[in-house]
Amino acid sequence: MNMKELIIIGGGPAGITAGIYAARKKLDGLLLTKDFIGQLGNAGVMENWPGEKNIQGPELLESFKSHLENYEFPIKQEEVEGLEKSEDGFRVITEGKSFESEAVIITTGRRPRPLNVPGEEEFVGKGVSYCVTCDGALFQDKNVAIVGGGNAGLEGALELSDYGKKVFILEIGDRLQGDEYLIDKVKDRKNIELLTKVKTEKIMGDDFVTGLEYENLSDGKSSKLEVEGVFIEIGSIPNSNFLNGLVELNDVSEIKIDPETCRTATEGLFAAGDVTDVRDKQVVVAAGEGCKALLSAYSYIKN
Amino acid sequence: MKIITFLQKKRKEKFMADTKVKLYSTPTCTYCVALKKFFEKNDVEFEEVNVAEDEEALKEMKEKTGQMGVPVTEIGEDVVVGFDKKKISKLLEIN
Repeated sequence: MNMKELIIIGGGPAGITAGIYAARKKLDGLLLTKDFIGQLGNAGVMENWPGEKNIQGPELLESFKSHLENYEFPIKQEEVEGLEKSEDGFRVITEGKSFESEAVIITTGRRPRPLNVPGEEEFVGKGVSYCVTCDGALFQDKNVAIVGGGNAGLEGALELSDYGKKVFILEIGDRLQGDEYLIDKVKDRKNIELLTKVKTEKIMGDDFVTGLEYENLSDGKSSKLEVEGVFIEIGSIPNSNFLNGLVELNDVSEIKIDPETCRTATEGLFAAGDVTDVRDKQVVVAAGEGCKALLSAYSYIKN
Repeated sequence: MKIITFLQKKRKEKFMADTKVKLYSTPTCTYCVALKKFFEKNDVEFEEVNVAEDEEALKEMKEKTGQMGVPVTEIGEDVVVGFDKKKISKLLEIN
Protein backbone atom coordinates (compact mmCIF):
# COMPACT_ATOMS: atom_id res chain seq x y z
CA MET A 1 0.00 0.00 0.00
CA ASN A 2 1.08 3.52 -0.79
CA MET A 3 2.24 5.02 2.47
CA LYS A 4 1.73 8.75 2.63
CA GLU A 5 3.51 11.18 4.87
CA LEU A 6 0.35 12.87 6.11
CA ILE A 7 -3.42 12.53 6.06
CA ILE A 8 -5.65 15.42 7.10
CA ILE A 9 -9.17 14.47 8.11
CA GLY A 10 -11.76 17.25 7.75
CA GLY A 11 -12.50 20.04 5.29
CA GLY A 12 -13.22 23.07 7.45
CA PRO A 13 -11.03 26.09 8.27
CA ALA A 14 -8.50 24.02 10.28
CA GLY A 15 -8.18 21.18 7.76
CA ILE A 16 -7.98 23.43 4.72
CA THR A 17 -5.33 25.65 6.34
CA ALA A 18 -3.30 22.55 7.24
CA GLY A 19 -3.71 21.42 3.63
CA ILE A 20 -2.44 24.72 2.23
CA TYR A 21 0.65 24.61 4.47
CA ALA A 22 1.20 20.92 3.67
CA ALA A 23 1.05 21.66 -0.06
CA ARG A 24 3.54 24.50 0.29
CA LYS A 25 5.86 22.21 2.26
CA LYS A 26 5.46 19.67 -0.57
CA LEU A 27 4.42 16.93 1.80
CA ASP A 28 3.11 13.74 0.25
CA GLY A 29 -0.35 14.05 1.70
CA LEU A 30 -4.09 13.63 1.31
CA LEU A 31 -7.10 15.49 2.67
CA LEU A 32 -10.14 13.34 3.39
CA THR A 33 -13.48 14.96 4.13
CA LYS A 34 -17.12 13.95 4.06
CA ASP A 35 -18.01 17.29 2.43
CA PHE A 36 -17.12 20.95 2.45
CA ILE A 37 -20.07 22.12 4.54
CA GLY A 38 -19.80 21.74 8.31
CA GLN A 39 -20.44 24.60 10.70
CA LEU A 40 -19.02 27.32 8.44
CA GLY A 41 -21.04 26.08 5.50
CA ASN A 42 -24.18 26.58 7.55
CA ALA A 43 -23.17 29.92 9.02
CA GLY A 44 -24.85 33.14 8.05
CA VAL A 45 -23.00 36.39 7.69
CA MET A 46 -19.42 36.44 9.01
CA GLU A 47 -18.03 39.77 10.08
CA ASN A 48 -14.89 38.74 11.95
CA TRP A 49 -12.69 37.14 9.32
CA PRO A 50 -9.91 39.69 8.67
CA GLY A 51 -10.01 41.13 5.18
CA GLU A 52 -13.70 40.41 4.66
CA LYS A 53 -15.98 42.97 6.26
CA ASN A 54 -19.08 40.98 5.49
CA ILE A 55 -19.15 37.54 3.89
CA GLN A 56 -21.50 34.56 3.88
CA GLY A 57 -20.16 31.44 5.63
CA PRO A 58 -20.34 29.17 2.54
CA GLU A 59 -18.71 31.84 0.42
CA LEU A 60 -15.74 32.09 2.78
CA LEU A 61 -15.47 28.30 2.89
CA GLU A 62 -15.58 28.13 -0.91
CA SER A 63 -12.75 30.64 -1.07
CA PHE A 64 -10.68 28.56 1.41
CA LYS A 65 -11.36 25.48 -0.70
CA SER A 66 -10.39 27.06 -4.01
CA HIS A 67 -7.20 28.35 -2.39
CA LEU A 68 -6.29 24.78 -1.43
CA GLU A 69 -7.29 23.44 -4.86
CA ASN A 70 -4.86 25.90 -6.38
CA TYR A 71 -2.01 23.71 -5.08
CA GLU A 72 -3.13 20.37 -6.55
CA PHE A 73 -3.00 18.84 -3.07
CA PRO A 74 -4.91 15.53 -3.26
CA ILE A 75 -8.45 15.74 -1.87
CA LYS A 76 -10.93 12.91 -1.58
CA GLN A 77 -14.52 13.45 -0.54
CA GLU A 78 -15.04 10.35 1.57
CA GLU A 79 -16.34 10.01 5.09
CA VAL A 80 -13.80 8.62 7.54
CA GLU A 81 -15.25 5.78 9.56
CA GLY A 82 -12.26 4.72 11.59
CA LEU A 83 -8.67 5.42 12.50
CA GLU A 84 -6.23 2.87 13.83
CA LYS A 85 -2.53 2.37 14.35
CA SER A 86 -0.63 0.52 11.63
CA GLU A 87 2.90 -0.83 11.62
CA ASP A 88 4.53 2.42 10.51
CA GLY A 89 1.90 4.98 11.34
CA PHE A 90 -1.85 5.10 10.96
CA ARG A 91 -4.57 3.51 8.90
CA VAL A 92 -7.54 5.72 8.00
CA ILE A 93 -10.65 3.80 7.04
CA THR A 94 -13.37 5.16 4.79
CA GLU A 95 -16.29 3.27 3.25
CA GLY A 96 -14.67 0.25 1.65
CA LYS A 97 -11.19 1.79 1.46
CA SER A 98 -8.22 2.47 3.67
CA PHE A 99 -5.28 4.85 3.48
CA GLU A 100 -2.00 4.82 5.40
CA SER A 101 0.22 7.63 6.58
CA GLU A 102 3.03 8.41 9.00
CA ALA A 103 1.12 11.24 10.66
CA VAL A 104 -2.53 12.30 10.87
CA ILE A 105 -4.16 15.64 11.63
CA ILE A 106 -7.76 15.47 12.82
CA THR A 107 -9.88 18.54 12.05
CA THR A 108 -13.39 17.11 12.00
CA GLY A 109 -15.12 19.99 13.81
CA ARG A 110 -18.46 19.82 15.54
CA ARG A 111 -22.10 19.16 14.69
CA PRO A 112 -25.37 20.28 16.29
CA ARG A 113 -26.23 18.34 19.44
CA PRO A 114 -29.27 16.17 18.78
CA LEU A 115 -32.15 16.12 21.25
CA ASN A 116 -32.49 12.32 20.98
CA VAL A 117 -36.26 12.13 21.14
CA PRO A 118 -38.65 10.05 19.02
CA GLY A 119 -39.56 11.75 15.73
CA GLU A 120 -36.44 13.92 15.60
CA GLU A 121 -34.48 11.93 13.04
CA GLU A 122 -37.56 11.02 11.05
CA PHE A 123 -38.57 14.65 10.48
CA VAL A 124 -35.20 16.27 9.73
CA GLY A 125 -35.83 18.47 6.68
CA LYS A 126 -39.56 17.95 7.19
CA GLY A 127 -40.01 20.48 9.95
CA VAL A 128 -37.10 19.59 12.24
CA SER A 129 -34.07 21.82 11.73
CA TYR A 130 -30.83 22.73 13.48
CA CYS A 131 -30.37 26.00 11.60
CA VAL A 132 -32.73 28.96 11.94
CA THR A 133 -30.74 31.03 9.42
CA CYS A 134 -31.11 28.25 6.83
CA ASP A 135 -34.72 27.22 7.27
CA GLY A 136 -36.47 29.86 9.39
CA ALA A 137 -37.93 31.78 6.46
CA LEU A 138 -39.95 28.73 5.40
CA PHE A 139 -42.24 29.13 8.38
CA GLN A 140 -44.06 32.37 7.52
CA ASP A 141 -47.18 32.71 9.63
CA LYS A 142 -46.68 29.27 11.13
CA ASN A 143 -46.37 28.21 14.75
CA VAL A 144 -42.86 27.03 15.55
CA ALA A 145 -40.96 25.78 18.58
CA ILE A 146 -37.37 26.31 19.49
CA VAL A 147 -35.76 23.90 21.91
CA GLY A 148 -33.05 25.50 24.03
CA GLY A 149 -32.99 28.79 25.90
CA GLY A 150 -29.31 29.63 25.49
CA ASN A 151 -27.95 32.40 23.25
CA ALA A 152 -28.38 30.38 20.04
CA GLY A 153 -31.97 29.55 20.99
CA LEU A 154 -32.81 33.15 21.89
CA GLU A 155 -31.24 34.59 18.74
CA GLY A 156 -33.08 31.96 16.74
CA ALA A 157 -36.36 32.78 18.45
CA LEU A 158 -35.95 36.49 17.64
CA GLU A 159 -35.29 35.68 13.99
CA LEU A 160 -38.23 33.27 13.88
CA SER A 161 -40.58 35.75 15.51
CA ASP A 162 -40.14 37.98 12.45
CA TYR A 163 -41.60 35.25 10.25
CA GLY A 164 -43.68 33.01 12.46
CA LYS A 165 -47.14 33.48 13.90
CA LYS A 166 -46.08 32.23 17.28
CA VAL A 167 -42.74 31.04 18.62
CA PHE A 168 -42.47 28.80 21.68
CA ILE A 169 -39.15 28.55 23.50
CA LEU A 170 -38.75 25.34 25.47
CA GLU A 171 -36.06 25.47 28.14
CA ILE A 172 -35.33 22.52 30.40
CA GLY A 173 -33.87 24.65 33.22
CA ASP A 174 -35.90 26.91 35.48
CA ARG A 175 -34.70 30.03 33.69
CA LEU A 176 -33.29 31.09 30.31
CA GLN A 177 -29.52 30.59 29.96
CA GLY A 178 -28.73 33.33 27.45
CA ASP A 179 -27.39 36.87 27.85
CA GLU A 180 -29.58 39.35 29.71
CA TYR A 181 -29.95 41.71 26.79
CA LEU A 182 -31.20 38.89 24.56
CA ILE A 183 -33.62 37.75 27.27
CA ASP A 184 -35.04 41.29 27.47
CA LYS A 185 -35.45 41.45 23.70
CA VAL A 186 -37.24 38.08 23.68
CA LYS A 187 -39.57 39.15 26.48
CA ASP A 188 -40.53 42.27 24.50
CA ARG A 189 -41.79 40.22 21.56
CA LYS A 190 -45.51 39.59 21.80
CA ASN A 191 -45.44 36.45 19.65
CA ILE A 192 -42.81 34.61 21.71
CA GLU A 193 -43.97 32.39 24.55
CA LEU A 194 -41.47 31.12 27.09
CA LEU A 195 -41.83 27.69 28.63
CA THR A 196 -39.29 26.91 31.33
CA LYS A 197 -38.71 23.68 33.28
CA VAL A 198 -40.05 21.70 30.36
CA LYS A 199 -38.58 18.62 28.72
CA THR A 200 -39.29 17.99 25.05
CA GLU A 201 -40.31 14.36 24.73
CA LYS A 202 -41.55 13.66 21.24
CA ILE A 203 -41.95 15.24 17.81
CA MET A 204 -45.08 14.23 15.95
CA GLY A 205 -46.24 14.47 12.34
CA ASP A 206 -47.37 12.59 9.26
CA ASP A 207 -45.49 13.67 6.11
CA PHE A 208 -44.29 16.80 7.90
CA VAL A 209 -44.14 17.94 11.54
CA THR A 210 -47.48 18.72 13.13
CA GLY A 211 -46.55 19.13 16.79
CA LEU A 212 -44.47 18.21 19.79
CA GLU A 213 -45.06 16.82 23.23
CA TYR A 214 -43.32 18.03 26.37
CA GLU A 215 -43.31 17.22 30.05
CA ASN A 216 -43.70 19.97 32.59
CA LEU A 217 -41.00 19.10 35.13
CA SER A 218 -42.81 20.91 37.98
CA ASP A 219 -45.84 18.65 37.97
CA GLY A 220 -44.84 15.79 35.65
CA LYS A 221 -47.77 16.47 33.33
CA SER A 222 -47.44 16.12 29.56
CA SER A 223 -48.74 18.72 27.12
CA LYS A 224 -48.83 19.13 23.36
CA LEU A 225 -48.00 22.08 21.13
CA GLU A 226 -49.29 22.41 17.60
CA VAL A 227 -46.25 23.53 15.62
CA GLU A 228 -45.06 22.97 12.06
CA GLY A 229 -41.42 23.63 12.78
CA VAL A 230 -39.11 22.45 15.57
CA PHE A 231 -35.70 24.11 15.77
CA ILE A 232 -33.14 22.42 18.01
CA GLU A 233 -30.53 24.75 19.49
CA ILE A 234 -28.96 22.91 22.39
CA GLY A 235 -25.30 23.36 21.53
CA SER A 236 -22.89 21.26 19.53
CA ILE A 237 -20.81 18.12 19.99
CA PRO A 238 -17.35 17.29 18.64
CA ASN A 239 -17.05 14.84 15.74
CA SER A 240 -14.71 12.54 17.64
CA ASN A 241 -16.68 9.30 17.84
CA PHE A 242 -14.80 7.56 15.00
CA LEU A 243 -11.59 7.61 17.05
CA ASN A 244 -12.44 4.54 19.16
CA GLY A 245 -10.16 5.21 22.09
CA LEU A 246 -7.09 5.85 19.91
CA VAL A 247 -6.66 9.32 21.36
CA GLU A 248 -7.30 10.94 24.71
CA LEU A 249 -10.54 12.95 24.94
CA ASN A 250 -11.73 15.29 27.71
CA ASP A 251 -15.02 14.81 29.57
CA VAL A 252 -16.99 16.49 26.76
CA SER A 253 -15.40 14.26 24.08
CA GLU A 254 -13.04 16.90 22.74
CA ILE A 255 -9.56 15.76 21.69
CA LYS A 256 -6.99 16.85 24.27
CA ILE A 257 -4.12 18.70 22.64
CA ASP A 258 -0.97 20.43 23.74
CA PRO A 259 -1.91 24.08 23.19
CA GLU A 260 1.50 24.96 21.82
CA THR A 261 1.93 22.20 19.25
CA CYS A 262 -1.53 20.66 18.66
CA ARG A 263 -0.01 17.26 19.52
CA THR A 264 -2.38 14.70 21.02
CA ALA A 265 -1.36 12.13 23.62
CA THR A 266 -0.81 9.67 20.73
CA GLU A 267 2.50 10.08 18.92
CA GLY A 268 2.14 11.12 15.28
CA LEU A 269 -1.45 12.16 15.80
CA PHE A 270 -2.29 15.87 15.77
CA ALA A 271 -5.62 17.70 16.02
CA ALA A 272 -6.82 21.22 15.39
CA GLY A 273 -9.92 23.41 15.52
CA ASP A 274 -13.32 22.89 17.09
CA VAL A 275 -12.94 19.13 17.58
CA THR A 276 -10.21 19.83 20.16
CA ASP A 277 -10.27 21.31 23.65
CA VAL A 278 -9.05 24.67 22.30
CA ARG A 279 -10.95 27.26 24.31
CA ASP A 280 -12.21 29.54 21.55
CA LYS A 281 -14.32 27.97 18.85
CA GLN A 282 -13.79 30.59 16.14
CA VAL A 283 -13.03 30.32 12.41
CA VAL A 284 -9.91 32.45 12.70
CA VAL A 285 -8.67 30.39 15.66
CA ALA A 286 -9.37 27.11 13.85
CA ALA A 287 -7.37 28.30 10.83
CA GLY A 288 -4.44 29.25 13.08
CA GLU A 289 -4.62 25.93 14.88
CA GLY A 290 -4.59 24.11 11.53
CA CYS A 291 -1.36 25.90 10.69
CA LYS A 292 0.19 25.05 14.07
CA ALA A 293 -0.79 21.38 13.75
CA LEU A 294 0.74 21.15 10.28
CA LEU A 295 4.02 22.74 11.29
CA SER A 296 4.28 20.34 14.24
CA ALA A 297 3.37 17.38 12.03
CA TYR A 298 5.96 18.52 9.50
CA SER A 299 8.78 18.45 12.04
CA TYR A 300 7.53 15.09 13.33
CA ILE A 301 7.60 13.63 9.79
CA LYS A 302 10.98 15.09 8.84
CA ASN A 303 12.83 14.25 12.05
CA MET B 1 -9.40 22.63 -32.63
CA LYS B 2 -11.17 25.96 -32.88
CA ILE B 3 -14.06 24.45 -34.86
CA ILE B 4 -14.59 21.79 -32.19
CA THR B 5 -14.63 24.43 -29.45
CA PHE B 6 -17.11 26.45 -31.49
CA LEU B 7 -19.36 23.43 -32.03
CA GLN B 8 -19.18 22.54 -28.34
CA LYS B 9 -20.16 26.09 -27.46
CA LYS B 10 -23.12 26.02 -29.87
CA ARG B 11 -24.21 22.65 -28.56
CA LYS B 12 -24.04 23.95 -25.00
CA GLU B 13 -26.02 27.05 -25.88
CA LYS B 14 -28.73 24.88 -27.42
CA PHE B 15 -28.75 22.58 -24.39
CA MET B 16 -29.11 25.56 -22.03
CA ALA B 17 -31.90 27.04 -24.15
CA ASP B 18 -33.80 23.72 -24.16
CA THR B 19 -33.34 22.95 -20.45
CA LYS B 20 -35.41 24.91 -17.99
CA VAL B 21 -33.73 25.54 -14.65
CA LYS B 22 -35.86 26.54 -11.68
CA LEU B 23 -34.43 27.37 -8.28
CA TYR B 24 -36.55 27.22 -5.13
CA SER B 25 -34.81 29.36 -2.52
CA THR B 26 -35.12 31.75 0.40
CA PRO B 27 -33.21 35.02 0.79
CA THR B 28 -31.50 33.89 4.02
CA CYS B 29 -30.37 30.44 2.95
CA THR B 30 -26.62 30.57 2.56
CA TYR B 31 -26.42 27.65 0.13
CA CYS B 32 -28.94 29.34 -2.15
CA VAL B 33 -26.57 32.30 -2.38
CA ALA B 34 -23.66 29.97 -3.12
CA LEU B 35 -25.67 28.09 -5.73
CA LYS B 36 -26.76 31.29 -7.49
CA LYS B 37 -23.12 32.39 -7.69
CA PHE B 38 -22.27 29.01 -9.17
CA PHE B 39 -25.00 29.43 -11.81
CA GLU B 40 -23.84 32.93 -12.65
CA LYS B 41 -20.22 31.79 -12.96
CA ASN B 42 -21.27 29.09 -15.42
CA ASP B 43 -23.72 31.24 -17.39
CA VAL B 44 -26.72 29.18 -16.36
CA GLU B 45 -30.01 30.99 -16.83
CA PHE B 46 -32.51 30.14 -14.15
CA GLU B 47 -35.88 31.13 -12.81
CA GLU B 48 -35.86 31.78 -9.07
CA VAL B 49 -38.83 31.44 -6.75
CA ASN B 50 -38.72 32.64 -3.16
CA VAL B 51 -40.53 29.97 -1.16
CA ALA B 52 -40.44 32.16 1.94
CA GLU B 53 -43.00 34.42 0.28
CA ASP B 54 -44.65 32.27 -2.36
CA GLU B 55 -46.71 29.75 -0.43
CA GLU B 56 -47.92 27.98 -3.58
CA ALA B 57 -44.32 27.44 -4.68
CA LEU B 58 -43.41 26.10 -1.21
CA LYS B 59 -46.30 23.63 -1.44
CA GLU B 60 -45.17 22.60 -4.92
CA MET B 61 -41.59 22.12 -3.69
CA LYS B 62 -42.72 20.05 -0.69
CA GLU B 63 -44.83 17.83 -2.94
CA LYS B 64 -42.01 17.31 -5.42
CA THR B 65 -39.31 16.52 -2.87
CA GLY B 66 -41.13 15.32 0.24
CA GLN B 67 -39.06 17.70 2.32
CA MET B 68 -38.75 21.43 2.93
CA GLY B 69 -35.04 22.21 2.83
CA VAL B 70 -33.73 24.72 0.28
CA PRO B 71 -32.14 25.10 -2.21
CA VAL B 72 -34.05 22.82 -4.55
CA THR B 73 -33.13 22.93 -8.22
CA GLU B 74 -35.36 21.67 -10.97
CA ILE B 75 -33.41 20.88 -14.13
CA GLY B 76 -35.75 19.71 -16.86
CA GLU B 77 -37.41 16.63 -15.35
CA ASP B 78 -34.87 16.18 -12.57
CA VAL B 79 -35.03 17.62 -9.07
CA VAL B 80 -31.94 18.12 -6.90
CA VAL B 81 -32.21 18.81 -3.16
CA GLY B 82 -29.43 20.88 -1.63
CA PHE B 83 -26.27 22.39 -3.11
CA ASP B 84 -25.16 19.13 -4.71
CA LYS B 85 -22.59 20.60 -7.06
CA LYS B 86 -21.62 17.24 -8.55
CA LYS B 87 -25.17 16.26 -9.46
CA ILE B 88 -26.13 19.72 -10.68
CA SER B 89 -22.96 19.97 -12.81
CA LYS B 90 -23.68 16.59 -14.32
CA LEU B 91 -27.27 17.44 -15.18
CA LEU B 92 -26.24 20.78 -16.66
CA GLU B 93 -23.25 19.26 -18.45
CA ILE B 94 -20.88 21.68 -16.73
CA ASN B 95 -17.31 20.40 -16.67
